[in-house]
Amino acid sequence: METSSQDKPMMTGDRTIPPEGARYITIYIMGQAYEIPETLTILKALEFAGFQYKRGCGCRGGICGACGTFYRKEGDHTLFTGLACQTVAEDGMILAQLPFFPANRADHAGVDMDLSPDEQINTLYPEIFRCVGCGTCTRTCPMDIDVMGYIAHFKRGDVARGAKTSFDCIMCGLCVSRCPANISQMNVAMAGRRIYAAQMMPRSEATKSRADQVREGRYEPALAELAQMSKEELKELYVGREREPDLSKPGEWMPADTTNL
Amino acid sequence: MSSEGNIRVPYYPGCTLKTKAQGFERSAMECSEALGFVLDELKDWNCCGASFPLTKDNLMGLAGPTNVLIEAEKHCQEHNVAPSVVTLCSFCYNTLKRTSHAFKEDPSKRTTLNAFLERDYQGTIKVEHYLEYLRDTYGFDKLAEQVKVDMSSIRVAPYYGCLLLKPGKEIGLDDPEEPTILHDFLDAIGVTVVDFPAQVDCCGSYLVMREPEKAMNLSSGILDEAGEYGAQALVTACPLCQSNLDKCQRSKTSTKDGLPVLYFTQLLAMALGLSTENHQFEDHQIDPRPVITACGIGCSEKSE
Amino acid sequence: MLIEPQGQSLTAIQELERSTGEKITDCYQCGKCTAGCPASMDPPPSVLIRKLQLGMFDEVVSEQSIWSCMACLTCSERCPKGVSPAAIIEGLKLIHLRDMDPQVQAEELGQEFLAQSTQQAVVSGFRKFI
Repeated sequence: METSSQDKPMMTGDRTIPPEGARYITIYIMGQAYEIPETLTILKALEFAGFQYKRGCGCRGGICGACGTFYRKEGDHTLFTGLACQTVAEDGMILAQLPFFPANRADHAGVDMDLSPDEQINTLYPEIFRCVGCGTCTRTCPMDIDVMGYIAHFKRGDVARGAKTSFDCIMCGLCVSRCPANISQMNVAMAGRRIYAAQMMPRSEATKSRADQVREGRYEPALAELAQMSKEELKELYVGREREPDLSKPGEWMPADTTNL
Repeated sequence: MSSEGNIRVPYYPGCTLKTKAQGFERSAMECSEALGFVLDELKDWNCCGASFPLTKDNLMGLAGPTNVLIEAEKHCQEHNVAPSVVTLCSFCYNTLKRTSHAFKEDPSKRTTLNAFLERDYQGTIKVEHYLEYLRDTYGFDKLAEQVKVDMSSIRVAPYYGCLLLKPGKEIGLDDPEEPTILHDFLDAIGVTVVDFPAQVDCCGSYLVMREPEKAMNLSSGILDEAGEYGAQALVTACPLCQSNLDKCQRSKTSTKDGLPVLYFTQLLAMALGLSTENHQFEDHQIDPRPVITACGIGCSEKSE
Repeated sequence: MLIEPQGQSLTAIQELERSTGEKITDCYQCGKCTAGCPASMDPPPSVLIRKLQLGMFDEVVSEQSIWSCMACLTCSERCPKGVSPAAIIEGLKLIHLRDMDPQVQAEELGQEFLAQSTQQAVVSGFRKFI
């Protein structure tokens, strides 16, 4: 049975209840003025104004990188950036969303694994050597990552540091859109983190030995036991589970039943 | 006179010294410590841009080096040392020095760059090459006193290349056509100097990207001349010269009488009697160790 | 006879002088730049400058020899008139590069070159050719 569009369940954020007595401010969306109540995030303001975002809107928690936004303020030459879901709309904001920006993505499968990690980056993304060090990317990043810094780290072959510096990247692409050297920073960083994780990061011996135990079937009996429990029994087991006290010192606490350790 | 090696010299390595020329940096670090000073690497730095933009309107090319100068200024203020920065690589040296010169000549460029970068470079940094530091601050005389190993049995041709010296008016390290700084350095550490005419010729530089054969020919010419004048090795201050001179020998059919190309700091380390185990000689196309050992100079893998 | 560049060539040459900060008419054709040029450019720097003096901008800007210059600065160092042929040549290169006419494709450089080269060579090459 079809329902009318008004009866459709509203998505989060579609219906905004402005705070009591909220003042209305003017924002500009693609050049058009809209009156919206203050205190809203840019994303909610867009929705309040009647736009529905299917792309360019994701987690609403500032971590998925879908809602990159450029904006200016009236009478200010500065180009600001932010995530629409995290930035509060201000009076006089002139907004443009950047749901997507074309970026160069190299074929990682084609890389020669005999090369050292830094040489792999060089062959995948030679354009990093076009960086002039203008710093626009760093000033653009809504996550306050030192983008120019990590490109510099990759350029000088310090893949580990580049991977760490870029770790908070949410792939919004704002840096890519601004780079005068046409570098796709976010994809360079992604390659750097993958190469670091796959080839350089120290491996934990304990993880390896435990994984071997799993493969050898050490936990099969315990799993079989769980698998035949009823939902109620599982709930009971979960609720009644033994928990490590919050303030116990590492290595001091032990559960009563140690058969599965 | 190493007063616990506590003189800290602000130091900008540049990208190549962290990858293809690690032996250059490590040998310089070890020599410095033996001589009683420490190369203190800037905390954050980016690529200097490698080539200084030759046209007056290309301000974008100054952004990279300006960022480096800003970091150097910050470093010097934090560590309370005179505003200066020492480099090893000729390219970095040239770019940074010419940038600071351009700012002195035309302060409006500095204003423009500061406004664009939204940072504040005050224009105080003095850019120095490691050789310059050894000559002017440490002193070649004093350096000669520190020499522990007799190096006179090896005949070395000093190869300057281009960017260490030119343009003479802006760089001012030495005479751009008849330089002596490397000669004097080699004299000080007791090496037999082979003066050869191609000492300031171009190795082909970045032409390896577009016309590699031409670049290799230029490098071969320099090597041939050094060989003709009886050199057993070349010494340079530039990783790109080193790489070009080295690679063109690999591409030649005969490498039997190949000339090893060393960084000047590697020879210095040998003269000071230091271990060369960190010098990455295995990265060189022409391994210098056989020649050096044949000259009776210790080229120790491990300090004994 | 003094041949004065006219029309579009004049504008282009004035623009080149502005961009490089060099004065093309300062050159008195001693040929020291050409004598010292290790890149064996053909036509060599002094000929390029002479042609610019004669207003032959279109011909000079499309010469292949400008791409052989490796900015060793020997010419600029030796010029008795303080002209920097290297800067003029770089100005000519920039006319191509600023017009999105790269001389090297980064994607075609090949793994061996990119993996084995010093950063100096790659960064400089990108500045001068792309």
